[in-house]
Amino acid sequence: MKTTTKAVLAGGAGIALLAGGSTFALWNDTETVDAGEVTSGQMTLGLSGIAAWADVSPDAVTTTWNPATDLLVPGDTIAWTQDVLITATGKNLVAELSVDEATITGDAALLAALDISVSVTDAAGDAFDASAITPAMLAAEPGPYTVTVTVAFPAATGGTTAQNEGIDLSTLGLELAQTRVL
Amino acid sequence: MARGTANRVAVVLVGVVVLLVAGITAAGALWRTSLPLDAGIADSGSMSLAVNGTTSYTVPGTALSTIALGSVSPVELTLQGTVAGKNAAQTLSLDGVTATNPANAFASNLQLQIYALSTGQSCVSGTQAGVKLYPAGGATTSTGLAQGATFRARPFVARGTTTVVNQRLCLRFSLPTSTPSTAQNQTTQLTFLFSGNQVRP
Repeated sequence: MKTTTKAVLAGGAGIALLAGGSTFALWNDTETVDAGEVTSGQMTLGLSGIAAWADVSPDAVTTTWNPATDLLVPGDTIAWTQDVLITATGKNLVAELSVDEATITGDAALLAALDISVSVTDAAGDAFDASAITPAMLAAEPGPYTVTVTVAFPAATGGTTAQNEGIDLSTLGLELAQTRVL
Repeated sequence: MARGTANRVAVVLVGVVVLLVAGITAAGALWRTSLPLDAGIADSGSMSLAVNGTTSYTVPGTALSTIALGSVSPVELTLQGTVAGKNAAQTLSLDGVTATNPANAFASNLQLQIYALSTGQSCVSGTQAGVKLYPAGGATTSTGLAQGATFRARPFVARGTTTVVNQRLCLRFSLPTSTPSTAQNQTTQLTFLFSGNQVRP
């Protein structure tokens, strides 16, 4: 059989199949099912109250600390506290609250000399695991939560290291990030 | 490797890479919210110690050039201390005195007394008023070798002091009458190492 003849027969078969499409018009029926709404959760951070500095050096005569006038020296430990509100909803939501220490800038020698740490406590003042916050935890321990940034100037700092320098904590980044093992 | 096999391997590798990239992208795209906090600034303080207004002071040679056996050559110094810091205080100590030509008869016989002077007290060759710091203890007339002289840390700048604190010292040099004649026309240079140390209250 010639190739041309084969092509003609194949085309005709195709047209016949397309014409047969009318078989889709056989009986059919549809029903609607109400699956309700699907709503997304929420994760928010907010400030509560007024932040404050305190002198928590064990030998401090007073606990007040005025960053505008008071100067750090070796042996000092000061703490900055700010209450925050956390909202987290979602069946499988897990989030971590952290402070981005990269947002703390200033003199390199002073930054190197200082020990800066961050902790979170609940409304009762108890330690709060901010690394895996869940809606259930928030329901059990309602806020506000207190974020504490502790700045310690070790007494072992010798010589005249890091005198008359400063660090800037005015753009401290507090972050709540969802975590999930995918 | 045949071309067909190579293509299959390439497809598998691309698939793995795509899956890895997809996984990383998904992890980075989870919810995230941040809140800027203003904790202000924290500044460090300072402390300093100076002698007669400088960090290094040389006693004029004339003050000691006429020292004679049995007499006292008084030299007065003023140490200045400052601290800046809510919880800072400073002590003052003499950590040591070294001498050049330490073995010569002059240097090895040179005696010293150090007194802390209060307002109204002068540094004199006669009877000295003030608090004797070196040598520690003993009678007010006792002396010690100039080389190696020290006095222990004593309160200097109190916490909360915002002004310069001055401490006048009287260095009383002498040569005992037992000094051998070989000490004549000999020289030595003394270096005093004073320390201001920050202390916690």
